Amino acid sequence: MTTTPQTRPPAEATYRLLLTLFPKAWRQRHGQEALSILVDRAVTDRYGRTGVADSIDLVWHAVVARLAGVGQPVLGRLPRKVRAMPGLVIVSLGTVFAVIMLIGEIAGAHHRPASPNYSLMFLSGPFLTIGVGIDIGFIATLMFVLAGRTQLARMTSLGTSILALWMTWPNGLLPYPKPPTVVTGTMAVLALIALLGLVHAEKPSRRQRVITGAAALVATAGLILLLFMITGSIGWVPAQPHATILAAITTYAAIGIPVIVATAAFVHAGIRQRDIGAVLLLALVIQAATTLSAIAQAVESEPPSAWLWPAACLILALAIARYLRHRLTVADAQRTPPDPTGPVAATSPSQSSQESG
Amino acid sequence: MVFYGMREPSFLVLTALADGRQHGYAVMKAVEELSDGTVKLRPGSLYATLDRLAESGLIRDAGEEVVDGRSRRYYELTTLGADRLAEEIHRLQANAARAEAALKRLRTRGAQA
Repeated sequence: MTTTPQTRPPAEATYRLLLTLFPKAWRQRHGQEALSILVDRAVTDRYGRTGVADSIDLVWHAVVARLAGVGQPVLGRLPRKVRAMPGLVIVSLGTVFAVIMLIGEIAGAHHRPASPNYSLMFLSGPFLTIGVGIDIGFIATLMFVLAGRTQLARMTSLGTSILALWMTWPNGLLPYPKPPTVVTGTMAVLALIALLGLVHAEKPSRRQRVITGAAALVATAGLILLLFMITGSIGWVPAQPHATILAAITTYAAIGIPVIVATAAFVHAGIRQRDIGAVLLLALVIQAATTLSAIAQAVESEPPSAWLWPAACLILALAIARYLRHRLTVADAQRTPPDPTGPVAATSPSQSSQESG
Repeated sequence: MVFYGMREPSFLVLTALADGRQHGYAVMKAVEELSDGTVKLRPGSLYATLDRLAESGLIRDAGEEVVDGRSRRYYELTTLGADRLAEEIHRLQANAARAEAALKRLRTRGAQA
């Protein structure tokens, strides 16, 4: 279909605008052809009017293409077989937190305080408020991932990210009591990283999905048991002064252990590719999450022990990176052949050919 | 890369390209025809699917042509893509055979009862 300014259907301008949402590389590759298809469909099926479904489809795939571009510098360097792992690990981690908090919410329903400060009861149900939506978002995302519905998982992950960021916004956005910033902030960072991972990954293999589901189940059960052993409850129980240190350690352990597991997954991927640059970058992102969490804790007048886990994560990440770099350097040195330009073996290419001939 | 059951749009795109190289719009129409109208790829989904299949090495670019002043990029099946398509066809045939046998047993039991 050839269009002139006089015969251009009304949909063309809208589609042109929507196509600008895609990254430049995508537009250069597919933009012109996509526009002609869209306009053709509009003329054939809708008298030249813009199609709502086509527009939604464009916006969604533009968001995915943009997010894939954001994750490319790090995730794009991972081997294809393990590229799904970052998303899976972070989704599992977020879901473990979500399930624990949701169970705490349900179990403690009869002991709800009449008013905040909910942060005093962080261990046993900070999601008394509408923050429970984040729980459901993470759980739904993991369910879709395990069912192999990656596209749906990306959608719920995007929704969860937006919801968590919205709740983390400092003032005025919510007329209701909201969970502590430390919780929503941590969940927002996890949701964003999970989204980037899911956008960049292909459909995980059955084996990866089974391992993910099993790991999430075991971690959830283990942490719930741990919480029960420490606090005597998994529901709403105000934190006692003598329990503060224990509560803090448990909380930071709950955040830190999965973070370390996630870091280990990236390290493993980095070893496979013999490239630890990406691992370090990922470790920094994870470090940022734990540090933000500690900052939020500090703002809420929590004890200085809030900085224990971010510091531990940092030290661990640096130690792993240093060890890996050493291993790779040694391995490279062992594989590198003797320098042919050295003083003993120094021969020109012509000399070499004459000698070998 | 391991495939555990290909998604229907991917399967239909590969099937469409098994007939020879085609451009995006032709692939989109072929998918709709092959599925009797039950699978309708929209442009955003179409190019996402094509890019994903190309990245997986199942299809590849097969040149560009300018028709009516518009550039069209063509795609074709790779050897790997043909192999994966054959594997998927085999898997679907095996499933269909099992389903048919189960249905036959059910009807036999119904007739005996």
